[in-house]
Amino acid sequence: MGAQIRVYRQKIASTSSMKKIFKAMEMIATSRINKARQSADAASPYAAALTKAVTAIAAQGSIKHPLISDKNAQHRRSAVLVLTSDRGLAGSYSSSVLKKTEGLIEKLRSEGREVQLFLVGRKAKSYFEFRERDYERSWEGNTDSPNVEMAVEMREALLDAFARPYEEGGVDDLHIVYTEFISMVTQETKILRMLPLAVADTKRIGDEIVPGEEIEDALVDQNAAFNFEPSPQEVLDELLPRYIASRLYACLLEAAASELASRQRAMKSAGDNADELVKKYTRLMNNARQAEITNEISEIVGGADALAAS
Amino acid sequence: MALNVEVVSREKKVWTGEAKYVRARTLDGDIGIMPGHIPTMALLAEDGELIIEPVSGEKIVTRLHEGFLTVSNNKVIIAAKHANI
Repeated sequence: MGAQIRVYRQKIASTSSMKKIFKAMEMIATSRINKARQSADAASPYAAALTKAVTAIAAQGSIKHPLISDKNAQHRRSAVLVLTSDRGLAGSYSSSVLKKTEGLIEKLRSEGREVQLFLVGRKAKSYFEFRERDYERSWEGNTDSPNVEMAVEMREALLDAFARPYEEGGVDDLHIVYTEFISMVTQETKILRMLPLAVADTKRIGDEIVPGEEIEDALVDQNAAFNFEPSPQEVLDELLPRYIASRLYACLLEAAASELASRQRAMKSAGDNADELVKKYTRLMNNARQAEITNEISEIVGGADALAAS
Repeated sequence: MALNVEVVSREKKVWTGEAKYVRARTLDGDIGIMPGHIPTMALLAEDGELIIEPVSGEKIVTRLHEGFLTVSNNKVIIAAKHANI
């Protein structure tokens, strides 16, 4: 009987120390969400300036650029960029992104396209490695606090794949699967077609492309005929890659905020569960102690009775 | 009439306010902007000086690294890779 009390005491001790860890992780996640939100807000003027500029050029008409969609182009191979987290303990964050990715891959395959994967986060990497499926490239390290350099590096790799001809393993379009941060309690997994950029007449994959992401939707002063220095083509050549990096950065920040929000929620419910367990174990321990005492008393009384009878 | 100037870097908004005059270095050379400038979009030089003369206050002189500048309707947006004021 004594052993049982000891077991419960141990369980209570370990649960309470776990609870402390959950609480700490919850608090860290909460403070980091704010940081991620702030970087997203801080980066938005630059993104807005770029969007405006790119739109203005696109509005000039008769612009031809390899990154801008050509309706006649064939889509034979697609790149899919998957944004997951490095670490777990974030509820269903990574798994719902991966589920969405599987859906997209299936859809693209059914349209007769090959799929090339670019993975962000250790979770995505281990998911595809475990299933022995090939991927083109992966990044890991700081999914919860992305920086501009990371976005630029991704852009280099993606544009490189995009620029290569199909025969040499290049891709014809690029999709991003990421999680949009709507509020602290709601995050939504989304698919965004990033490349080629659509200026008009968007060819949509599914109906999940976020409105406002396509250039055509951006506000533009259509009447302004711009004077370009050095030339429209050169300005476009220079700005489009930056536009893409800035979009990628925005996606990374959204994903980071969502990851942290999921982690915060997961840790909150883990902490609540720990509370309940401690309560349950305390009751069981009290029960066991009471049982032991009752047992001892009945032994004493039994012994006394036996002595009195003799 | 004054120019409505916004200087942004990749990470944050750096400066915003009203100005009488803005000068920046583009790939083709220096460009001076005063109110009523025609709509322009220009790429900035790798490393160049930016001068802003605000409506009130001290003249601002700083350096910019790579970026672009747009002018339309007296609104000047200068977006640079790195900028500090």
